[in-house]
Amino acid sequence: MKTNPSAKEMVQIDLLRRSSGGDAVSFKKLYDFSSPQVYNYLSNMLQVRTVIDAAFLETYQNVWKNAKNYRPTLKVSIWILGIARSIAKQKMEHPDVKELISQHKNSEYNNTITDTIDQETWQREALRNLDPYHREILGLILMPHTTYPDIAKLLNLPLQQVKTDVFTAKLAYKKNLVLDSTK
Amino acid sequence: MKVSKLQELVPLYINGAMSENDRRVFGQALKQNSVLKQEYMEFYELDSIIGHTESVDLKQLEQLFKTLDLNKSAPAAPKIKPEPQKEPEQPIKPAIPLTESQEIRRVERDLQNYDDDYRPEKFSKEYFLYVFSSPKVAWAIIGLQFVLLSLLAVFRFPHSLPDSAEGNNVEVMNVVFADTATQKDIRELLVDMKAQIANGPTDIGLYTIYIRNNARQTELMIDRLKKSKLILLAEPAFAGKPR
Repeated sequence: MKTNPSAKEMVQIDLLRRSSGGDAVSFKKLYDFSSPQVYNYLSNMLQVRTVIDAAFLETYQNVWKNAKNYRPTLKVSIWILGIARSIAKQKMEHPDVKELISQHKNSEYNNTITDTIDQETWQREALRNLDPYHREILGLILMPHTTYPDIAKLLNLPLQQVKTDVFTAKLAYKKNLVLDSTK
Repeated sequence: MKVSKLQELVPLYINGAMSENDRRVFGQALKQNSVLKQEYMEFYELDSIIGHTESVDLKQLEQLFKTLDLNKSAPAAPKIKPEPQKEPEQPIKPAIPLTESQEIRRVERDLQNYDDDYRPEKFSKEYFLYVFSSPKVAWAIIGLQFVLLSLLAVFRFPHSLPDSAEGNNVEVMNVVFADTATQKDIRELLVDMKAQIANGPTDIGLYTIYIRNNARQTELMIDRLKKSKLILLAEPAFAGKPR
């Protein structure tokens, strides 16, 4: 649904400001605004439900604690995604979580080869088999109302590199599609 | 615009980050350019796979609110209602998309609601700012100041000594101090007698003083004044008691 980003952004800044003063009602509203994006992002990155849920919870605990540190050089949604990103990265480096993700991939793969393989399953597999950075950048650029400069700020990369990386990630996805279909 | 530049814009067209005007122009380019159309199809396909949740499970919110150190103003975590009995399935009506202006109005209405709901935490800095910026408080302070000023105006006049507050009597005396009396002596005498100068001196050195005491003691005081070496003359004034 198309909305006016600046009006929406103003609302979110106001909610975050109030949350920093301990206003739980505003925090709940901010959560309502932002949680789908954050959950999608974490799902795309972490893949395993229990890990996603834990990271999601930690993200909003951090948002609540650090709301007073927000500076409006970033969109609120991007600032929250930045927190989610650093938590996701920590989780992905943890050996137990690595093991869980690996097990999850294997079980998904086994399901795929026993079930009827349709086009959507191929596409999902192609996406899942991308390296995490490519999967992340594709997820980010397709997130509602996100722009290249937003992603550049979030990833702390030059704008042109972000554009190139989106292009490269999509090429890698297409390559995976071809590979999967020939299995 | 070059095709490569237009290709960069495809994800923004899909995720809604483009302005309405840019969308219209881009939409026309999309119809005419097959390379662009292919790019659009690929991103569209990716978007449908990545998927976008519209809302997160309420359990998450409930759990979050349990773990956070929220103050008393925190709303209770939403209760998860038990699944209602499933009714026979009905065809789902597609949601009617809001136009841009309707959406802005909705956000503004939400913003207004936030202001109505806003109650900062008690005794925080925001709380005091919120309370003292209230017009009701401003009017109350103005009213209080008015009452205080009125009271001050009534009680501030020097001659408005309390007439006979319970058990007190006020006498007005005309006195002439001796030439040898120093200012210090006179002040000590007046303090000792609970008296104060109301007027004077006149051309002949006459002072008017008030003596506050109960009726019996006042007579003694007058007597004492008359006997004092500091006083040449001490007589009750004819004007009577001050009002």
